[in-house]
Amino acid sequence: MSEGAPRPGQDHYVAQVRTNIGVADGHRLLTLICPEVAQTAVPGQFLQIRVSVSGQDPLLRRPICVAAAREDEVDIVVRVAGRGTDLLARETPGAFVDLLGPLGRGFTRPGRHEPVALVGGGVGVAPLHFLLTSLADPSRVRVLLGARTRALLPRQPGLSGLEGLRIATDDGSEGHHGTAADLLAGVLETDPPHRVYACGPQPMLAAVARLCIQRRIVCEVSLEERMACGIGVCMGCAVPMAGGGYTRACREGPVYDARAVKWE
Amino acid sequence: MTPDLSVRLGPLTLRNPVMVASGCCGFGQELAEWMPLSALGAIVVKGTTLRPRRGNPPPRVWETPAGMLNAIGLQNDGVQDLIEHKLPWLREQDVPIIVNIAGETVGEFAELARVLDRAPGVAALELNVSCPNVRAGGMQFGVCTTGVAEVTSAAREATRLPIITKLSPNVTDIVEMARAAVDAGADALSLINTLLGMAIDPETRRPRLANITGGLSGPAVRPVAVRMVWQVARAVRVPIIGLGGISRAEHALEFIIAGASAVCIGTGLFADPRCPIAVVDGLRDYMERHGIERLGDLRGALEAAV
Repeated sequence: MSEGAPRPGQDHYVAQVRTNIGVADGHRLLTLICPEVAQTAVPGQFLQIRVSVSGQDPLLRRPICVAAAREDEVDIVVRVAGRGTDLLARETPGAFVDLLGPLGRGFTRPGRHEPVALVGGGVGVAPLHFLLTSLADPSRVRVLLGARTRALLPRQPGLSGLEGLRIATDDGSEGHHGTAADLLAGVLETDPPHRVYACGPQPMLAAVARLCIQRRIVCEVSLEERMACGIGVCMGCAVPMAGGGYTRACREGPVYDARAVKWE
Repeated sequence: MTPDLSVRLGPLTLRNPVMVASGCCGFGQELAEWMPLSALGAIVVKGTTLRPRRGNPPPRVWETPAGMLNAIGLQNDGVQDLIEHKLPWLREQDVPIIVNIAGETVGEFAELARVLDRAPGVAALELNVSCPNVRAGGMQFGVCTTGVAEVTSAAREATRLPIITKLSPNVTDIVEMARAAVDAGADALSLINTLLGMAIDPETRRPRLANITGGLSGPAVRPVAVRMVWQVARAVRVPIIGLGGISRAEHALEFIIAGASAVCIGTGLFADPRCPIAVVDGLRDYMERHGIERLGDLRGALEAAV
């Protein structure tokens, strides 16, 4: 990558909202018309989306992973966590959103027939869904999804009918009573995949990373850290590295090799 | 009439008054993906220390009403890395390079100034006596007149480069600090650095930042910054670089009318990395609309019955 040269497709776009549907309690799936991002985004990359008209309050953009890309449109899943994401989740079809992207480093593509497992928790399912849709042979894929409770499981189109899908809920309201990491532990016992891709809350990622590192299975995690700029200038989204020091989730991440990260 | 946006900053002449602020543009490379650095009046690169610094643990940032708190903790790879790996690229970008330096001691400020005096391509030094997020150095110097004076004169003696002292707003009397810097040999002043702040998550009773406290920036601090620029401009004769919550031409104009010669955009870059271009264009439009030939004519042009 040459210094100062923009990454593929990376630019400032104003995208129109095509649809906005509910996919779980407090989760909206927005489809944005943005052909440039749809054609250049790699699974694991994110967009920095402006949530206020003025750009002054709320001041900062919200980093949101691309959940799917088709011809001229991209999907994002917005989890309403505060004032900013609430504003974004209310955008109606026809409205315009101001975004920067695609940003960050995405997942490494697996080999054509390599058996892989995707482990997602809550809204973390979004980038894994994008990865799944980009795979040549989705039938070889195990998808392990976890959520606190049934109502928080994302009903994302393209996930429900999947043969390799397993569900876990913390309260046992659907699927396995436990976590997605528990499901992975079972899969690693019976039929270990070559690669594991994970995205979700920090404790889940730490558990997944530990399991994979023990068994020497390649594992990539997509990390979420508080972010200000999203473009590598503020040093806000620091991720502690196993070798010491910090890297930027927005730039060296958000996808990391699990071995490179310092887990608490 | 083509408006003349160039401004004098002590011994420096900038093509326009719109600079980007230290700690908000890294060392220029990432920002250059969004806008040509040659469109800027100058770039002030991230606070540079004698030795590499890891910075503070996360979370380092927290959004607040029309603003944000940060406690990055001067993460940087040290002055040698700047000289060997970052300046060579920056020198090719056709933009004056101002290096923000942060010492833990007065002696470290002098050493940094001495090392950078010999580095090709450095246009000026900005003295960071106002970082609120480090234990040693930083704001500790910027909150008393002797600290400001000692750091400024130590740097002054160590280099022929123009010296800009960046002042902290976390003081009872900003004018006193400004006078101390000017008397000690500062060629210009930057004001303001961030306001010391804090936010708490009531659910967990934990601070929002791992560092507990952090620096407040963004639109929320602009009125404080404008007021301080106005007070200082009336008291000292050196040029002032105004910063605090600027992302549009109308914001920059507030500072210039209050008495600033130039402005810096910091947090505004996080929301819109191309906003400096819009600010330059907006200033040109304003000058055309108001028949102002030279931007310098607008400096300190506040209409007030005092």
